[in-house]
Amino acid sequence: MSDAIRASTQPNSFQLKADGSQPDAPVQRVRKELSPADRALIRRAQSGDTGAFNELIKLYERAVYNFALRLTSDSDDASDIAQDAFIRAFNAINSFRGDASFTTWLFRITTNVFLDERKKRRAHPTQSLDEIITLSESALTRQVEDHAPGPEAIATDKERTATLNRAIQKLPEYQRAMVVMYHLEQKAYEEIAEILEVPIGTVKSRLNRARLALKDLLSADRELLDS
Amino acid sequence: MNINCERLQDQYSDYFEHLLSPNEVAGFEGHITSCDSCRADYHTFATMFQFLDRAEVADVDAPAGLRADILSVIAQRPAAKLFSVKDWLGGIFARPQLVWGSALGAVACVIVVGALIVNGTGRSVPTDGGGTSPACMAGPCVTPTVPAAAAPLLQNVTLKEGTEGLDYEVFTLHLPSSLTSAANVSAYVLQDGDPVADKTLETDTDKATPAWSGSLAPNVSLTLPVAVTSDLPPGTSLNLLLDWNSPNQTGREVAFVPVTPAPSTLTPVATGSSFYDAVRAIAGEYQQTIVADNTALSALASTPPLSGTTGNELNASDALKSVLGNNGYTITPQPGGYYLISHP
Repeated sequence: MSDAIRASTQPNSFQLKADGSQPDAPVQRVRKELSPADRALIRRAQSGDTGAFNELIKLYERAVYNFALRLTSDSDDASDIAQDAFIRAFNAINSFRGDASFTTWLFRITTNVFLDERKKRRAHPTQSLDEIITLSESALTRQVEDHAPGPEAIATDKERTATLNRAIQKLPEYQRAMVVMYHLEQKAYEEIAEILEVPIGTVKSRLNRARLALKDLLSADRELLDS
Repeated sequence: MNINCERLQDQYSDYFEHLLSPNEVAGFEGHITSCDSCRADYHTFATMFQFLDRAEVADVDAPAGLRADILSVIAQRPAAKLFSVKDWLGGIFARPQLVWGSALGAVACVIVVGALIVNGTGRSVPTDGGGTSPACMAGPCVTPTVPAAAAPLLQNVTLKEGTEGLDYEVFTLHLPSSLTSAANVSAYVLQDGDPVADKTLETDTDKATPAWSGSLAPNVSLTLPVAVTSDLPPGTSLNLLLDWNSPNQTGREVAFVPVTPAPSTLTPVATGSSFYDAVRAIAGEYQQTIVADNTALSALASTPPLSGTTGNELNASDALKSVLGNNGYTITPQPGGYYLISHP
């Protein structure tokens, strides 16, 4: 079965909603092919035309930035990652052979920048969550804000999305990247495999583990999700 | 198919996405029907999975300055076809007399964050909707055009404001009509061009910084933008050496482009100044773009030290005639608004 488009609409027995209705149709995942105009721009950029690369940035900066934003949940970090990704892309533009789509190639670079950045942060942490702040008359442990809605919170879609996003941010970086690519960027398994340069089977099994981890993180909010 | 609860978890995603075989589905459903714990667990999983797919993921715009920041960094990186700003600036500060010792001694540019196709004449400042960059602001652009009527290679120079606040001098190049095949073109920013007729100048990175090189076909125009740093002294000119060679012909010219306002008091060209220094002084002081073509540069070797006077009472043409006219050079106004210096 091709993963490029998840086309099956026949629910299994345990996919019925609680009220017995059918689940929504599966999300369509369609890969964007490179247009002739984009190919021409890439060829020009590969010949050293930085004007063409400027045009490529215009075309792809929104996608790359939003991907980085979903990975980091921080606009400054996302901007830094997007910037580094395009600079790496510029330096490596001649290695793009057109075997993958340009978006796939850019997302691979962006993912690597993100993973490298997080690795650096782990090596050189800038803040400890249990850091003690000494005040003049007392000492207190820095309070880490708990964003989880209380039991009385109204379970709107917005709240559920925020809850999900917070849980996604708690996943290990590699799992987070996979969840973001599949569920938020709507990438197909095949494209994620190309981005991460691993077999499709590996993508599926790792994504399943990531979803199980996410389920455990959200177990406290099950009522929120069920509502 | 006999599977335990842990094995069942491994199949959650495949079951949800209908990727299991009929036998696997039967095994999965057989277990989950009889296991309350797995049924509840899978229900949570499936609910989360479905909501993940339906989560609101509206895109936001990239930050306004992101592209400019990227291009700025790219412009400052050493690259095979772009000259290194870092090296160039390092060169300036390593030789401060070029900037501070002489108001005329410094040219400045960071590179090439864009390109502009110029169709008009004159040294006008085009606008494009509130200062946004033109389509090719990040580097040289090649565009099909009608053949150039004649030499020189440089057809026009315009000033352009980039979105990141830098001014760009955009050079439009086109091979002379006498060339019927492509030529290899190299552009250098000159920090010191006294030996401007000497080919070895191009390998002296203290004096000539590579700005661009490549092949240029006869029927196209190349626009080469060069960004100018701020805080340069009055009377400064940007001096671009263009060198080309084809199977049948070679050429060389230098464009002197004023990039800062004229000083309040003009300084006469000193007796004994070289051709290069004299033209550079006039370009900067009289705010006049001047191009010295191949014939002028070739004649340098036989040209005696130049002397002459410039001053506030003269215009650029008079200044050029005063300094160069007595040495056999011809000075011709060009449609692009600059003077072309030749040596018949």
